[in-house]
Amino acid sequence: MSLLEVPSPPIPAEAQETGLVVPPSSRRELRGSRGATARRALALAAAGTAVAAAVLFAIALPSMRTASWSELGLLFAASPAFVLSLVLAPVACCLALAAGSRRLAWVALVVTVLVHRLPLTLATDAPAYSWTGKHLGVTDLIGAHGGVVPGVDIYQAWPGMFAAAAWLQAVTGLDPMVLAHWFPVLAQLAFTLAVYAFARSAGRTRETALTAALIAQLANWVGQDYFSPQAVAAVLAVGALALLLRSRRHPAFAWLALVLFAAVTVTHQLTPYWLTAVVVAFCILGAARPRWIAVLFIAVAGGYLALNYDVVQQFGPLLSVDAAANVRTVNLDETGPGQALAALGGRIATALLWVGALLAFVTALVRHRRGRAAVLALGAAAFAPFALLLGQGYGGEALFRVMLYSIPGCAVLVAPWIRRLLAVPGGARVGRRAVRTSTRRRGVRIPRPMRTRAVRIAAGSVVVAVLAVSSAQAYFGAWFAYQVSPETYRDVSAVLRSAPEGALVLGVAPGAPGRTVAEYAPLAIYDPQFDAVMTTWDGWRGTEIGDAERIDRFTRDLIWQGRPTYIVMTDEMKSYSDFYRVYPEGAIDEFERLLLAHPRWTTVVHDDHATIVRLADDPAAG
Amino acid sequence: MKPRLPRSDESRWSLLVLAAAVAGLVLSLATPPTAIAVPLAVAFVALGPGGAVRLWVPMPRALTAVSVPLTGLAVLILGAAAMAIVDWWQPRLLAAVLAGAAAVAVLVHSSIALPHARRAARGIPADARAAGEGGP
Repeated sequence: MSLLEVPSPPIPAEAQETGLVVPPSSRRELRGSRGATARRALALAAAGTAVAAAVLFAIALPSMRTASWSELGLLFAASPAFVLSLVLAPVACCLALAAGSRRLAWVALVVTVLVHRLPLTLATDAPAYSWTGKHLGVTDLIGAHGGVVPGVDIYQAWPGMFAAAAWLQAVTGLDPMVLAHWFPVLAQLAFTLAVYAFARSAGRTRETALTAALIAQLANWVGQDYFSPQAVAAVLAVGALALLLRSRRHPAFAWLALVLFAAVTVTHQLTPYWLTAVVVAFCILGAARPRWIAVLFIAVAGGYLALNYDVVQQFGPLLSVDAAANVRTVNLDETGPGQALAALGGRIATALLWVGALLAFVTALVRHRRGRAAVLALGAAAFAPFALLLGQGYGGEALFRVMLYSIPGCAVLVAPWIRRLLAVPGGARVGRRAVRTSTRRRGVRIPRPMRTRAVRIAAGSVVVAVLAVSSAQAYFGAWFAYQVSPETYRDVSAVLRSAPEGALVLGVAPGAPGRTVAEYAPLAIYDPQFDAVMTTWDGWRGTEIGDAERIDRFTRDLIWQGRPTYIVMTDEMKSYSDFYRVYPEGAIDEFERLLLAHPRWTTVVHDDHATIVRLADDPAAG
Repeated sequence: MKPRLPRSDESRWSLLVLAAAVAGLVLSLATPPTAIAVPLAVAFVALGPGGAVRLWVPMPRALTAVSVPLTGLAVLILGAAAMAIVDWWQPRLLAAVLAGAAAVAVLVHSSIALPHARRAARGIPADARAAGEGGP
């Protein structure tokens, strides 16, 4: 390691000879000079590593744009320089923290966020994740209609983020697609900064708070940070927690937190209830003041839920106490190696965070008998999200939400341990033991504690690197299943704009955006399932759909329904299907070929990215 | 010689919030090109409403960096969501109201709190000034 190779400060002759005894004054000099040199070397290494990470990312960027489809995701498809940059950036932050250079640590932290999130913006031409399209549609609807349209979908009852985006579009002319494209970077930067403030409010030092922010960034493989209500709600929620922890001294902060909480309440369906649980715990433990303000938080969340209770009921019971069912996730049936590897990455990152946080929590409880309330408050922030599993499955996404919500609290709990590994060399512990036992390496005497510190820094960096890689595999593992081309956005939007009332716009598989423009609203009012995906039909998922007899049969069924019907088939659907094993390989291609040749289906769009066919009105058509 | 007063944290924030309020007013009255309007909107939301609160509620630096922009975002979300829910969509009016509120907060703060801070900086008790005993 470069730390061990830096020119050593002069070591007193007596120590060089015997390695045992150094006068006290010499020991102080030794301690000071060696520590300063080591810190300088570490700072230099940190700066170099951060620059290397940024340069490697820039080198890898073109390969991300042109990467061929790989079931194992972007880490395997892009240049290895990308993986190196993902590892080196957080390691640079660790080295900077070890060097005691906060400024450098901040720079490395920002580089870390950028190399982990910029691919979604710079390596793509349109916002990733097909479900982003729905959020763009609601934003467009509010701007076009001048308000929400109750009854269209659940988003109309929680319009906070969409209304804010529509406001931004109205006053600036900014295309929401552009905002959505840059959203992951902005959301993750804000989330990381919010965790830092939360850690500071929890009494952590600046260095430990930086470590917490780094851990929160690295552990966040959930991918909530796209253009979505939960991304905004998560940032606001962590900000509210940071304010609440400061309210012990200044109760005004609790009122500010209430404003943020109100915004969370009108933005996202689930986040307010996790936040309410934490607020109640804070107030009971005396970590937030005035204690009775918890009642106002409950009133805001409960009141808004009561106002929209009819909407919630449409999506099933409010409480589902079957925890085993709630734990089940939508996409973690390991049906392919890519999915299995991504799930493994997520599990490793989650286990590192949760197990580390639990150990840190228990240790802190045992050690800090006086400050148990503060430790319990952090424990509440870290582990209260698990209570969600007792009450809601959230459409198979509850476990992802638990992970997301647990990140800030767990990161703040774990941070002191990582920070301790990265302790600044040259501190008070360099003393007699520093010269009692030593070894020789390249002619430079390296006292054992310094070697120990080097090992500790290396250990801390390795933990962080493992977290970074496993989390990145979970985040980028399904890269090719989640990319959407601008042409597909354009084609789907064009169909929605021209679709007559009562039309069905069916997708052969998930993966393509839907409801991308305001015109989806009349279709959704007519039939909330107007854009159903065929995999939800009985006997379709996993079967050979490229079968002429089956196509004839379902075409007859659709004719019998008497509704204008479109079928959308896109490259994104094929990628999604191949990744999640939705259909046998090549089945969608065959299905597409048969539909294009079928006399009852006319071609609306047929290009390199998408094929959209429409059921002909006239039986003689084709 | 008149003593030179150190520019306090409050006066810096007053200037920032006023600038943000002006940005908000520009957005509410005109339609600048997107490349100009977006930074104006970001500055307005990130510094305006939250900065106005910050004037009245001093806070640590780490908290300021988070709570000021998030307060602005929260206020914007609440205002925009309220307009969307009641079906009365007036985005420019919302910008004007928030900008006006931020400007008023600065003016009120300047007329009440800043003189106190300046007197404190000069070492003149407020009640002495009120009794006509102070002055530079």
